[in-house]
Amino acid sequence: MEYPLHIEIQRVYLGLVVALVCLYLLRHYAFTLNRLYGRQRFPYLDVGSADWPRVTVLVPAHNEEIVLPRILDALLMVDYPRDRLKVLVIDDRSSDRTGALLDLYVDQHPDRIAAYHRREGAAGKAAALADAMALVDTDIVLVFDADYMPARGLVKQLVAPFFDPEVGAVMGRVVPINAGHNLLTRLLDLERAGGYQVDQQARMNLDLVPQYGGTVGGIRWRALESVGGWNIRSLAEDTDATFRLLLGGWKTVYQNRSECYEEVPETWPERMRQVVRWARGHNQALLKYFWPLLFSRRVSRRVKFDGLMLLGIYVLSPLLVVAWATALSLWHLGINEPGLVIILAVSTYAVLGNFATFFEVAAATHLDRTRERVRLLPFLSFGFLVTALAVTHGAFVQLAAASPHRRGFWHRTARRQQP
Amino acid sequence: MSVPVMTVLFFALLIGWFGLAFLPALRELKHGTDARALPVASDGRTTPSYFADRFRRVLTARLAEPAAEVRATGRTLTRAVEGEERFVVLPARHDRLEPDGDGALDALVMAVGDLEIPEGLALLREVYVEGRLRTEPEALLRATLAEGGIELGAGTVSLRWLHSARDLEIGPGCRLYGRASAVTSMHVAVGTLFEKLHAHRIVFGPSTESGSTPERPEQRVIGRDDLGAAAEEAGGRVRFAGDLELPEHCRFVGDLVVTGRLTVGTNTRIVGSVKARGLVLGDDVEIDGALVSSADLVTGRRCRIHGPLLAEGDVVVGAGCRVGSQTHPSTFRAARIDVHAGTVVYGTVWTLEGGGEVHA
Repeated sequence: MEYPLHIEIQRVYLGLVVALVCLYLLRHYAFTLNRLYGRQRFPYLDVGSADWPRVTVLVPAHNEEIVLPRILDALLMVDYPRDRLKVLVIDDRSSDRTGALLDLYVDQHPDRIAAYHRREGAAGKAAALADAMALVDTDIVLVFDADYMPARGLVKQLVAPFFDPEVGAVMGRVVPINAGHNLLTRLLDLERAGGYQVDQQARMNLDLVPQYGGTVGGIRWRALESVGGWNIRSLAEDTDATFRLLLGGWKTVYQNRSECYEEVPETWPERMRQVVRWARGHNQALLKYFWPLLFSRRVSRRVKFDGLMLLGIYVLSPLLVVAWATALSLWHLGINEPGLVIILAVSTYAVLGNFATFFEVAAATHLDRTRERVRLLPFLSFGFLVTALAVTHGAFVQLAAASPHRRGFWHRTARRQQP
Repeated sequence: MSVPVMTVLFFALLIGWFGLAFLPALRELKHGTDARALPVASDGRTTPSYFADRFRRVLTARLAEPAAEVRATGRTLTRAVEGEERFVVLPARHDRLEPDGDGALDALVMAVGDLEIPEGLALLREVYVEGRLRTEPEALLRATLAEGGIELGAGTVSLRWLHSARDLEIGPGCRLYGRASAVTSMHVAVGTLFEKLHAHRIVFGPSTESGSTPERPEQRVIGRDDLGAAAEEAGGRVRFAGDLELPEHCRFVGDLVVTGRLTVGTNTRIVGSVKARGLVLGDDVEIDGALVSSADLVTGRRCRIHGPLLAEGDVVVGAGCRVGSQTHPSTFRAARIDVHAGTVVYGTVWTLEGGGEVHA
């Protein structure tokens, strides 16, 4: 049966979206099966004795008076050699007591904590990190957001991979500390488990592209510098760094057992803002690195494939929302062949499991040896739906604005002191 | 049945069908039985003496009173409290330790002085010795801590962990499952099977040192340009695409990453760290930094690795090699390790799955 051109275009579009969705589904299944049955790689886990290099821990802080003492106390307790660890807190134009609290700590620990009170320059975390590098004299730089709580052995665990000269960045696992606060935090706890315990570790196992997440991680400065340093124009300096390092022939590694507590958003508007921010940064990286990655001669085909899939993860939601609308409009136009119903069903199913499929999350709870929290799995449909709509909205706003040179600013989740 | 009724029934069934999945979800949401944050590793579980340190803390608190009594009376104390672990506290001078039956003793043993474990005796619970521990051949230990050093007789088996606050002498043919650690030095005899070892200085088998350093030809300095077009330099390291053979008697300055296999010729020194997907080192090779292989690794004789040696595959270490140094301890980690006599590791040796063995 022949259709008019605009109908054909819509049918082709639907076919392409479904193909894309199926690729992502296969990828999620492959990752989950790898985590359950495949060879697990933790190549840097047990490095306990070593001539540890000098390290700087950067703590970017913008109005962090509630949580700053907690992270500084935690960093003072880590088991890294004292004379080789320097904590540099970037007080970036805070208007609360962050600066005063920081000075108090510097007075008490002048040889271990340093302050950088930033009063001018471009706004945003990436710009703050870039400026702070002028004060850093070590090659290994770890970054912790101020609301994180590093455990005693975490710094050593995050530094150990840098003994490998191929490693340009390291990422640890983030664990929500306020998991039990409400339904949202419990869903985010599940989502994080799926994302780290399964998705990131599977990419590590398969030697693909684990992602540097901007916190609970580290960077080899001369590696990042060789590919352009911190990109202050990026909305997601972490994703940006991951792909520039990849294109430069450096590896990002994931350390699943290097765990650190964080606070996750406790309200839906906060969560939506967070995910929109991530999506915008990710999409910016997609536009910038899609073609360079596709034609890179340093990157193998399978790594390229995974990298491109990773870059496109936040584009899938708007593509699917448009596909739903297309399928519905075709249905109302009388193009109601069964294939379209299947397309709609498959795409709907897929979008509800876009970021981390149910299978991934269930496997993650199994690997974490928890039993009851997996019961909340059906609620994740709501979480993913909200995420999909927020990401779609963000993508369209981004398209409408289309300003790659917009000014950066500080995005942060509201802090609540956790016990 | 009318169409509206069927429609209502259909939707009721549909909602019920989907709703079923939400019943346990709603229950969990209401009761929050598993709502706490996941535990994160807060202490150094990779610290080799982790179990021993914990055991010492618990035991010295729990047995402080019985130990004081034994010191005062000089008599062996045996207690079997119902519902609790049976324990035996031995004085400094004590009779030979006897089994319950079947050659095994099912009690926690504490000795306030030295302790000698008779041949073939199996100690099914933990052992804590304030003095020096010596086992006769074929003893079996579950978890052992000795403050004054340990000597294991030939064929002794340690099931979980073993820690000496001084030195550790391991006889031939011992099997050490789990961790074995010593604060000062460890000597591991030929034929020993091990999993995880840690000491300031670990010597495998008899020493092969002749006392004098052999004459070595002068090394020729090579750089990226000598490696050909497949080599590129960025960020302070050279990255070589493909397999690479470094010639003998050379010196390469800088970090080196090889995307294929790397073969390093005899008496070549790399002043930096090395990573490859499979490595073969000739005799007398020296690596100033770390040596990392994402596959297998074979070293020749008398190689010196100053930084960590990390391999995702199996490793065979030639006789007389050194990993780490007195001043800079290191970590040697691989899936399986076969180490030849005369090799010395300063720091930690961890095997992942295949264990390790000492060869003559």
